[in-house]
Amino acid sequence: MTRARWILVIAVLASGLAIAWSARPQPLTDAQRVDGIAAELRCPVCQGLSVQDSPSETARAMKDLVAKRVAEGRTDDEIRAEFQRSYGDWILLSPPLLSLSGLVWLAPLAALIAGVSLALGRARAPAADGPALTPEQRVQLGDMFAKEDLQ
Amino acid sequence: MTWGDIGAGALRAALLLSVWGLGSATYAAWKRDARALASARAVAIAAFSLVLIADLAMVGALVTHDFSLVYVAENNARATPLFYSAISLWAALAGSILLWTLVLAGAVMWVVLRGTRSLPRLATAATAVLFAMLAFFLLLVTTAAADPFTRIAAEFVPADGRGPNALLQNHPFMALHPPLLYLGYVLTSIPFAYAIAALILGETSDRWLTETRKAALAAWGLLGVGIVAGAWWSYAVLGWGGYWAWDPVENAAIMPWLTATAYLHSVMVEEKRRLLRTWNIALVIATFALTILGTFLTRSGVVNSVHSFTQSAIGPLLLGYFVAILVVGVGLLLYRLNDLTDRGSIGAPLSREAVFLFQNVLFVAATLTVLLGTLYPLIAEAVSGAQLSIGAPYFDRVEVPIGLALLFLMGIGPQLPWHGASRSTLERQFTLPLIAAAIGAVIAVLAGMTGVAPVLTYALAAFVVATIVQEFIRGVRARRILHGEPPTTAFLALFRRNGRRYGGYVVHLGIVLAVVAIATSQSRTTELERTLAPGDAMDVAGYHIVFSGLRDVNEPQRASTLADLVITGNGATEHLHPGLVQYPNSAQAIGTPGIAAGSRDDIYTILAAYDGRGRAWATIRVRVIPLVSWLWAGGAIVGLGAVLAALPPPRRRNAPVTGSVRSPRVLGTDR
Amino acid sequence: MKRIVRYTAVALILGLAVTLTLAFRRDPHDIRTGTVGQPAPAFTLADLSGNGSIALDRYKGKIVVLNFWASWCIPCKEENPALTDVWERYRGTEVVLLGIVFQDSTAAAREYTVRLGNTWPSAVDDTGQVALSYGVFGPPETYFIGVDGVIAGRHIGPIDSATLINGIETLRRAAKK
Repeated sequence: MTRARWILVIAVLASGLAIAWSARPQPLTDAQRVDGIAAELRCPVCQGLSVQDSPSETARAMKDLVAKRVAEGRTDDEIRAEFQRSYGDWILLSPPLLSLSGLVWLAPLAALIAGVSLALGRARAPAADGPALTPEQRVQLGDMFAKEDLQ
Repeated sequence: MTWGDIGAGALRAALLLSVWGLGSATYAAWKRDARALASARAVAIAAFSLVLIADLAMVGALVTHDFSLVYVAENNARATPLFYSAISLWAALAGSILLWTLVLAGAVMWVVLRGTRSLPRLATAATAVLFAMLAFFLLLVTTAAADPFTRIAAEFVPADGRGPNALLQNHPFMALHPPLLYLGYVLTSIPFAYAIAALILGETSDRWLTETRKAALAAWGLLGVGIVAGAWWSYAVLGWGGYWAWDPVENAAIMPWLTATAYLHSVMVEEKRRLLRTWNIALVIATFALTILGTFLTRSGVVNSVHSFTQSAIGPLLLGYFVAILVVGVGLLLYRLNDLTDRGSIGAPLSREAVFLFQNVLFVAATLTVLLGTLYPLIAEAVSGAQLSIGAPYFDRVEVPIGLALLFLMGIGPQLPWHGASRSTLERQFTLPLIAAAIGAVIAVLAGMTGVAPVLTYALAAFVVATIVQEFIRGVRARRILHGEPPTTAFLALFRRNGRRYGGYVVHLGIVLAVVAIATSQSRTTELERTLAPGDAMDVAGYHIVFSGLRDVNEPQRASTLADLVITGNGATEHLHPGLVQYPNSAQAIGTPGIAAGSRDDIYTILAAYDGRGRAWATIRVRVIPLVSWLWAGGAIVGLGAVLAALPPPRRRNAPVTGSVRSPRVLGTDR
Repeated sequence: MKRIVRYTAVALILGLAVTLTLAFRRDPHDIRTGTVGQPAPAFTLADLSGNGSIALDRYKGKIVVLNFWASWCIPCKEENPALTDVWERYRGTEVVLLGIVFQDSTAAAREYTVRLGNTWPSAVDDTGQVALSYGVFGPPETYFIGVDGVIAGRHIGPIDSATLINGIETLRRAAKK
């Protein structure tokens, strides 16, 4: 392998490691848990803001309650369920995956898969167009286009 | 004669003229009649002038506090400062539709005067389409739907008006962001009108594409800058320390921007390879339809939003308009489907056109997600009666991965040749960027970023920046070798010779800057809230904040209580005055944040509560938000890049015939 | 393939049009979800008058009208005569009117009750947690709790005598069965 290739391999490895390191499971502090839950709850007196973002007094009371429940050792689901009992599904800013509304999570995924497979179906090897180009010719062609762009 | 008489009269005359213009432009396009075209031109100029008079009459009524008009009485008060009186033209429903009508009349005039010079017949047909739209909007502003000049009976004229919405008179940005968005919205109607005209006339060439490229680019740029300006307004006014809440009106603005971005890229595939023609027309129709859908959603009171205006008869009319646009647009497209079949195929998956295609898929998926998320609560309630919310957590979770994938494509797309890439090309193009990506990822981890999305954002941002820098270096080097120019001249010449490509890179740089700003500010904000007595202090993220006391400020139009804060640390000394402002027409006091903006971070302070009697304490909330000002800078750079990309290319002696056909013929000799 | 494209396009446009038309019937401010039909959340709060505390348990077997209010709330003043009327009318019966002070200072709330001459008990919800457990959006809001301790109804915004009496009488009839 040439030196350039070695550098390339190291670069790819380093990126991969850095990203893997950032993805390592970390224990959340209580404060982080409170912030996370508050970001998922809708502030009842605001217009679409979360409890985490809203400066209103109601949002503050809600965040206090979340903090209290976290300190009591309740799970995230239990805390969310408590708010859901008093305010209904409306209070959650994103619908749960396992419900009828889970459809909103599936639809973008389905659209993406359908779109990408359609696009892949259309993107064929250039050989299908006519006489095959050798790799060298293809590079020359690419360079020609690049030069044309430059002038 | 009152302002109301002038405005109402002008609008009614303009409505008659636009119907006349619709007729004459249709006849001119059908019979290729030069006299009818001349008449359409005159009518367009007259209609624009009349709508301009009506807009000015409304501004005049607002500035002179003419409370005999409902609009003025509801959105103005004697104490409203002159500046906010003038911009109250777009503070509420009827006025904003009036402004919209003015921009649309300008678009009609531009197409019938300029467009018909290069593509006589097509532009004339497009003029007819635009006249039809103008007539619709003039119908709105001359009937109860959105008549800004509705009068109050003489005996009920109030002595003073209610004044503009408190949130709208609290920051000068209100002057900037709605007109930018309206301009962007309306300009999308020009490509749409040409597309419809081409479909009606059976014009299967791509000439309308090149003809409307600038309008599409301008619409896209204005929408983009308008969206960023709106985010800035929200950041500076709403007092929660954020800039984007996936509010329905924000969603309404971002959807056409997303499809327009897809279009600006896929149109290059059509220009270079004559492919994706149906797809491009579909994107043009979708972009325009989405601007109307957004207007409908926010103007009809269907969704609850910070920006929703009160309910009026305009809802059903806008809905009808939206459906009509979809039926006409999609109907014509399906009718002409057979004439638009592509010859040839997209290159290998690693070719530029294939990347454009994937990019389009991602942008459309992103748009559909926003659309679904915005409409789903309506759908759910209509179907099952359930009430639920879809907000930031949903949109973030779906859009962030799509955004990261797009960032990746932004890095590889411009580096790949058309048709396909060889292995050696790939190595030549991507070695340096991949090293940059690794450095970006490692820096992010060392800086203490947690979570995959922020680290990946940094890596991809470094990757994209490296590809762009590499492109500029190669471009400059090539010009130095080919033309012997010094580096600076060569650099500037890149924009002059190929503004579209290098302007595009500038846009990409702006986007990268904005994306880094978003990723950093979202993941690294520190917040602290304390209740302080005068003289007390708090410490956040290396800043020492001293609360010196509360102070009352009375102005004619409002009364404010301000907290005086002195902030030191990280080499800065700042005096901030977050406050609570009470406008007479608003039940609740609204918070005005005190912001110290910096290139490294913003100190965002809010007066959350205070002791109303003894002034003995105040609750201060401080957010230290890193890199958020890079977002505004990114928006400005995107705008600059769009301007560079729109620069006319210099004439070439041996220019290829395709691309910019200019026909000197006038309409009369077109047969 | 072309046929599929055509049908999908038509179906999508139709669906969008129908949904948006249906959406007109919807009032974005009308939020129906809440605690109606569930057992009323228990609470023990300080009495506004300063003596002792008020616990919901104490009213077991009675019909409780729970009214969330604040001195800064203008519609609360509007509904106050109706509350006074009902308080006088059912005094000494198995019907109890209870106020809960929502996001207000105790001093301001006391001054308010004195000024308006309200004599029914009110509890101070200092942390706002009782309001949250009932799913309150903002004052005034009124809850009707039956003898079984279940929330039977809820009214958002200022209430009038007729609505109050109607709610109470429905619960009384249900209790007799």
